[in-house]
Amino acid sequence: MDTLTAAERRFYHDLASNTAPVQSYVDRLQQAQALVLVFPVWNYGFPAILKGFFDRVFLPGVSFRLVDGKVRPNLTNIRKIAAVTTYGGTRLKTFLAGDPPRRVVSRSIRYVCQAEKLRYLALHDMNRVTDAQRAAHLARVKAEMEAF
Amino acid sequence: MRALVVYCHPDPGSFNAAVRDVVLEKLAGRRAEVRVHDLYAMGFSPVLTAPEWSGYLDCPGNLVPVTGLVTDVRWADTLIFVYPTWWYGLPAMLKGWLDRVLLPDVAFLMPDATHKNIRPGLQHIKRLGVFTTCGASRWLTLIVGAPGKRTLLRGVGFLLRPGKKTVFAAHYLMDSSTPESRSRHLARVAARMDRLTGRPTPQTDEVSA
Repeated sequence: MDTLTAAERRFYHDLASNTAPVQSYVDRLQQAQALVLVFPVWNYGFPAILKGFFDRVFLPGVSFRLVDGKVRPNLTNIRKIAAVTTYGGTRLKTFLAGDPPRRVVSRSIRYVCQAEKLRYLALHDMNRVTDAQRAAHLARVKAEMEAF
Repeated sequence: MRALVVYCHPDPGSFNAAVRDVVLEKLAGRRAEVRVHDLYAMGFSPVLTAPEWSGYLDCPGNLVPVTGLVTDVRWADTLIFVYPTWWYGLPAMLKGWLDRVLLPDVAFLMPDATHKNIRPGLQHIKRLGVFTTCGASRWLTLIVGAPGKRTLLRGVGFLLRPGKKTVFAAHYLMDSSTPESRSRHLARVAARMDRLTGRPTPQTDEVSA
């Protein structure tokens, strides 16, 4: 299953049982010190399968706690976040669209981890990018990830 | 008017179902032709598969897995989304509808010898309605930058007819909503639908009468 189901929605806030359908993913996430996301941006958003990972695994009691109805960080074991991504759109068009995936990573995902370090490495305009630009991007990713 | 309503919620008893019903009532009142994609009820699969990805640019072969849904998109002059906001964005199910149905040659035309840029392909759609619910407050949603709203109003909006009519309404803080806040929101949805479909609201009638 790739999406949050009706049963999962019903028990979403039941901290005793909500992780059961995705326990192995939750365990791995809670043991991690860093989170590295590698994905293409489609239609100014995450591919559905990655969005489903957030919907189903970033549960109450896992990524956040509700205290007096307010969201509090709960994935503070994750100290560093890297997102490595490609866009079909140009940098300008992505900016005009408000760059939704960058906002989710740099604001909401970073917030629940309280991560000290965030690197967002994006290559834009994928349909027209040259071999040289792709190679330069790979070199940048390599250097950034070595430093990471 | 030919309206395609894309509805996404796993629970048939959800408040989103009530929002959808207001939308459908308003469309019926305008004698619009309506088609609904109820993504969970249809058992829609949101994941663009590896074969779909390899054939993504092969038009019209790329439409084969979703032919019926594409037919509805090409038929519509009005597009309406009703969904809950999760993680400040669209549920995976709805994001998958964008990924798999809004294909090259349907939603946009890829660059070619004469065109340097991607061109919009949904210029037959002249009305866009977006209705959602958010667990977060309006303030927090603004701070995060309302990614889901932007994905639809701008990302999809870019593809539609320039000068299209757009309406948006969200009920924030869903987890502490009350019967009053919910019924106020349904009234707001009804008013937005009147604006979208071009019917003056009753209050405007009274003022002009």
